[in-house]
Amino acid sequence: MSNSLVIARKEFKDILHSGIFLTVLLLLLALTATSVIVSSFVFKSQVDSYQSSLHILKELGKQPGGPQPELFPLNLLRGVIDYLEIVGAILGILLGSLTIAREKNTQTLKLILTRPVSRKDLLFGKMLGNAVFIGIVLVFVGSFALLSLVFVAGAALTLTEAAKLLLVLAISWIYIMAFFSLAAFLFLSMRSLSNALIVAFTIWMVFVLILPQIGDTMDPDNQVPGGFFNSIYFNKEQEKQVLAKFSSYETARNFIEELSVTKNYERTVFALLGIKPEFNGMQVPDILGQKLFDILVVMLFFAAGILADYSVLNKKDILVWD
Amino acid sequence: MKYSKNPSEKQFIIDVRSLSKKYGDNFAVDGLNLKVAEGEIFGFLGHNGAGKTTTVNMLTTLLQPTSGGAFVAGFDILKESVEVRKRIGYLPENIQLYDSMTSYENLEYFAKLSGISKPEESILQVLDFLDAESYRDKKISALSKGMRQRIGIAQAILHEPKVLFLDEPTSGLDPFGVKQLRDTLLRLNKEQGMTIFMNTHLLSEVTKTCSTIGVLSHGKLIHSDSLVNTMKRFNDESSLEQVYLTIEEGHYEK
Repeated sequence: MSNSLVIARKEFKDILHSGIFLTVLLLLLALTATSVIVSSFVFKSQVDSYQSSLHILKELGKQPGGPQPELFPLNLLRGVIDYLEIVGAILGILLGSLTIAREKNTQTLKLILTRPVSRKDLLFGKMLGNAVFIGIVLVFVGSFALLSLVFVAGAALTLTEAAKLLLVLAISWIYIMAFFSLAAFLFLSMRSLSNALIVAFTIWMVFVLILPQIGDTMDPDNQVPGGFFNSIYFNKEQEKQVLAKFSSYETARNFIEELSVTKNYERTVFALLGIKPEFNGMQVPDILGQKLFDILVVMLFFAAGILADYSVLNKKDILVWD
Repeated sequence: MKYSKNPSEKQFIIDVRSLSKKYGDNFAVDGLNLKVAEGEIFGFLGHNGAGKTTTVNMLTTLLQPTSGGAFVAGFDILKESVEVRKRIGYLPENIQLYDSMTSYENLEYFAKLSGISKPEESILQVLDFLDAESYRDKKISALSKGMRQRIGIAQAILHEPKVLFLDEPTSGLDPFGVKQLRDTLLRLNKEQGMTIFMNTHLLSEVTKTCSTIGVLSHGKLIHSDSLVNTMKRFNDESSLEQVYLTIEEGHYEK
């Protein structure tokens, strides 16, 4: 067995034996369950209500006037994505920090590095072990969501919808791994582990909470309490008049959102799940084409994390201090 | 075998040449030249912050020297670090190992990383050698400091290294643990011919264990000789402690 696989196997076993991660997994599943099951009931009641209306019309000897309403079951996963954005990023940070912090605290990192193990093997092994774990968590979440859709909502997924769900899980995996590699970088490069944790969670707060929140608040579509225009008591018409005079408003809002990898992730998966109505019924390649920039940002964030981890691992002095 | 040799053909398994490590404007190790012959137990002495651990970190390929270099077991620590690592064992100060794993699982992990093809056989042999078979299935978290140290030694010698580096191995051990460690090191040296390079503060142990000593002060080697010669040279002094203090003070006067 190669050194990477030896390290990956141990890493995976460590996570499984750790109570913290079982807790995170259960939390994520509970949130998924709550979100999907509630949405599924709403979906089912909409279907039932439509069916019963049809039945009444038929009994009255009438035909439905309008077209049959289109229902998109993948829309029900919106809540799951909201949780994955937040808890998934925390999971990535926790895994990335603990994988390094544990080895530093116990001095076992020194032991590994005095074995004929290349630093590339060490990095690859640690990433592989954690990647498999994150993959399993996502498979659990995805399967749970799928079962809820089928059995609670009574929705039958088409092959295209199933493919979209798989793509959502794949992008979610990259998103969580990006936070993993970021945390690993901070814990490798910073001498104080507590400072590294503070920096990691500050970055999490900025990317996951603050920037998306600013973007949402400024969103002209967001005529809800807390929305910018709603807060200053501008209705939709007044809002349009104001925006017509500030052509750069939307550009600025978009720029702020683009700064957050979470928003790039959200835009991609929301498009795939059809949460933005214009993407419903669109073919997968077309959606991916439209969201290419967002997908690339998420992937680049992950790639940059791996490169940063690798470069810091190769700076020998960073790993040892006495 | 590429061990460096002196004119009298004595083999030096550790050959340090003008090794320096600088942090900012300060030299942690400053132009260190040192030779340790094969089969010796070398005691590396010095005050806190003298540069002992930094030296060991460089010799074990953990740290990159600022300048100079060294050969360990005949291999260049800079250009042939993997070959060096195949031939050394290392036990850092206050080793904790993986708490949630048993002794056996810890040893198996390091055996695999050392490329040992039959880990079980090696582990059983080492545990037997260290008289530690009874700890085999105990979790590290359940072991005392002394027991843990023995498993730490076990991981360091599993792959039968030529040189064993120990950093303050007696730190935190009770007298019984210190004696056990001493007996183990002497047996390793005698029965397996293993060269041992030991950073230590415990001068009483040096007299009982080491054949050669080196004294480092502020990153510079201020003394290196066999223990017998050292004691002869300072024959007015009653103990190694007195000798050590005289060497250190003499250096400061310079």
